[in-house]
Amino acid sequence: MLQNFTDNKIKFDQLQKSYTKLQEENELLRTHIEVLENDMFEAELRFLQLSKASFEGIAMLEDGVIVLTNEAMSHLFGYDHFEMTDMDVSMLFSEDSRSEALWSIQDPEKDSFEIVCVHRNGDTFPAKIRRKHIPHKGGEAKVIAIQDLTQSREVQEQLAHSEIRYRNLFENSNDAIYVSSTNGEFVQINQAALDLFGYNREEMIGMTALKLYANSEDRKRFQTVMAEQGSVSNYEVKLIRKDETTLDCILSTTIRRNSKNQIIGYQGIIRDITELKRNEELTTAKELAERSASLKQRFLANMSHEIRTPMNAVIGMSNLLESDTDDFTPTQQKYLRGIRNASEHLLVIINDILDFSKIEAGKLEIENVPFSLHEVLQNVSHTFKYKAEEKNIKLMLHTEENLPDMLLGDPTRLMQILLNLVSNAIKFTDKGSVEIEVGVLQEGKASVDLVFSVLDTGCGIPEGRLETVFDSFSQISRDTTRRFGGTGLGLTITKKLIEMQGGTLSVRSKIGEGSVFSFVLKYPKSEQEREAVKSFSNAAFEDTVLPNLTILLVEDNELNQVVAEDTIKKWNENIIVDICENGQVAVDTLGQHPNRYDMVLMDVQMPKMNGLEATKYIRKELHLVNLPILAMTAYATTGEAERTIMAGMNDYISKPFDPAKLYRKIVKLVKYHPSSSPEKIVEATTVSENKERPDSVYKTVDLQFLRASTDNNPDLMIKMIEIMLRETPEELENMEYQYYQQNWDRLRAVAHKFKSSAAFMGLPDIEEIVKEIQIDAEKQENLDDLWERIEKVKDTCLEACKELEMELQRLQELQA
Amino acid sequence: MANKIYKVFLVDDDVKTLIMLKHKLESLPDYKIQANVFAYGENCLDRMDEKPDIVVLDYYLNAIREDAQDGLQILKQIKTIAPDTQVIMVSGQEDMQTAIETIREGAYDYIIKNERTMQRLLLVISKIILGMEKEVIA
Repeated sequence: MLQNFTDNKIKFDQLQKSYTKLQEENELLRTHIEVLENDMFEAELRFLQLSKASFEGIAMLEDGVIVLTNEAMSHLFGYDHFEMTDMDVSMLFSEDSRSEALWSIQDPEKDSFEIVCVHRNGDTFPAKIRRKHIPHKGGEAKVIAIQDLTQSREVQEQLAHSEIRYRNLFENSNDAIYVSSTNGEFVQINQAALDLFGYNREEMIGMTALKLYANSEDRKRFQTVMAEQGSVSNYEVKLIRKDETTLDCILSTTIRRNSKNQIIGYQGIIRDITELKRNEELTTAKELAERSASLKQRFLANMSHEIRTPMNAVIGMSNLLESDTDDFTPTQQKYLRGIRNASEHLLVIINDILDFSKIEAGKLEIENVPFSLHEVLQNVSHTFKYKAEEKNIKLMLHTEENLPDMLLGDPTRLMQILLNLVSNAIKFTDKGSVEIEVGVLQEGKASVDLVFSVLDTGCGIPEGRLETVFDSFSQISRDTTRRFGGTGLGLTITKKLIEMQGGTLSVRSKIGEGSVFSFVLKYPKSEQEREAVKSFSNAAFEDTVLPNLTILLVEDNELNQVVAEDTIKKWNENIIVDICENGQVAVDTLGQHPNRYDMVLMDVQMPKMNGLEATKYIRKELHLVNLPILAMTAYATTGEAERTIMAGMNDYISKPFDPAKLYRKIVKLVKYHPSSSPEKIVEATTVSENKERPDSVYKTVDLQFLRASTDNNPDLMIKMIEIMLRETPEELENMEYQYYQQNWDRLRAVAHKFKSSAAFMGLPDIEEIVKEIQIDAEKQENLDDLWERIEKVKDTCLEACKELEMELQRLQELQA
Repeated sequence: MANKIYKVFLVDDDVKTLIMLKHKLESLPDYKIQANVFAYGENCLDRMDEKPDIVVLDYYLNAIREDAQDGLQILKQIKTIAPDTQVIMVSGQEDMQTAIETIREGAYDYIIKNERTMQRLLLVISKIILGMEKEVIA
């Protein structure tokens, strides 16, 4: 018994010991488990956070069943988050690839594989699946990450495409493209490069770039820049072809690197700019020449202005005096004629200088209008009748009987040529005769070649001088200048004028016997009847009696004021002429009496405010867009006409003016602008009082587009119309100006902009015309009737502006 | 994001067109748009630091000032300064070459000027804005 007790006690102690030990172990294990579970929890948390941030779908699997997913997974497959929990993973894969997928997931050898997945809606998409193991609940959980490959597939395809595109670009580029190694040997080269340098591919691959440099220094500099900047663009350099000709090129190069970022060579583009450089040099030279020519022209224009202004007074007043010759004694009449002759002579000289400068600058234009040949010839012989009589020589005109009368060409220039030759002939002939002969050399159906000759029995030209007689400033001897006067430009101009019309001037002469100047000109025959032709002679200009106009004369020179006023009053003494001494006074006067005047005669050069500024002010600030303004200018160059028209004047006349010309211009302007008559203004005012005016009142504009564009917002409409009224005349002027300048590129730009104006005014026909103008200006085609088209656009748009003004007034009244 | 004010720069050398476009864009019911207008591309470039969302560029910009850069030149510079700004090119010329060049230089779209320009432009702008709103949500 005792023995049993002792045994039991021992057993008990042992048991107790092992229990305590077990307890200790248990405690240890529990801590361990806690730590483990804690880790697990953190891992899970990390997983969730991670998977949330990730664009990959991530799922945790247990025995092929999904136990946890991230949001991206729901997006990717179209299921709700909770729907995916407990789902069989095989559901994610398309039926065809299901077994392969399950097998791949189990395969310990595979970390990742690509497979076709299926969306809830049945769509399939390629995906890449990566497998991971992460600790989970004391064990290990299988995790798969699913990446949608659709986009990256697309990227790859695009990459492949761009690779092809790059290769096409490389091979088909017009620029030379090369790829070289670090030591400058060509590795790859395109066809354009081979063409440029004249090598074949075998020769060029492996060749060092140094061989292409005309100066090896250039390559050193290039390499320094490359080393510093890593790329070079538009580096200008002289390169050398296989045939040793040099080329001006620009070089753009970048460094090639491998994936480890090491430099493995260069690649670049070479562009041949030889031609471009040559053009650049030529352009600079041309610009320089043009600038000096324009300077010369400006100087001549200035000089002519200085002379013409007093000449205007002298000639104008002699004209006025001569019409009252009854009051003068014969001696006074003789003096008067003397003054007139001398001043007209002076004018011829000035005109010669101007014509010469125009010809030199290439700005002289030959007209092409119907004219009567007989009228020109009669005028010439008539002009010199008295002069010949004075010198007691015969002046004869011989014409062939079958001479056609109506021709197409430039009557003014033909007359100038003949006047020049006949005046020379008379000048150098002291006895005998001067004959003008005109005959037909050859006649076709549509055109005729005419021979004109001027024969004299004068002093003749020595043989050695015949060749230089047409040179500028040449007269037979310095003595001639003193004896006969003249600039020595006459024959040069005559010759140029003939050449510009397609003929040549020739001369035969014998000392002491006389000279014959002759030339042949080809003229198209005109269909027009003689009566229909606008007579360019001074005769019969007073057919129409000027109405009782009220004219505003703006002129600073007192003498010229008198000339203009008296000239006009001779036609109709009831015409009222108000005089302002400069533009500022004129603008003030017109501001006070906007409807008083039928037209304005405006000098261009004036103190305080010149004629151009005054006109702009009248058009834009006073809105007198229809008041006819005739410019009177002493500048007789081509540029002056453009400037006056551009400033908004309707026409111009050069001083000293020919009274007949002034008369015709006044008649034309007053007729051309019937809207300036007071009745019309009254009419317009009455109409504008009708506030409910329907659009049909407007004959030209169509406001529909404008209304639609502004959503019928009156404030916006007013703003738009104001802009249109301000811009349209400017834009029209600008088109005309660019046409005058023959600056087709600018005309294109201006027409392009003007299309929108036409659209806003609702003028589709005009828009179409402007579009054509734009295209023709761009291509420089159909330029012959461009002017008419511009004028049509102008007429219609100015008409439209008038209506817009009415609409503006109506809207403003409504607003008020 | 419905409250965002979208900034649109309009570049055209025709004032009338600018006024019209500004009016149309700013009165769109669905989005708040602030439109700034420029007669020259150069002026628009000066203000790229204001980060416009969209720039509407006319191709021809030199009707007033001869030396003004054309739309393509301006486009290239915008894309360097602010690659995220969407650029719509508008031009009267029906020239494929320019259209391709424009798209290649990163323009969002190329619209030919005709009577339907306004509608098309508004459509394209809506498309861009929708895209931007989507991006913000995603």
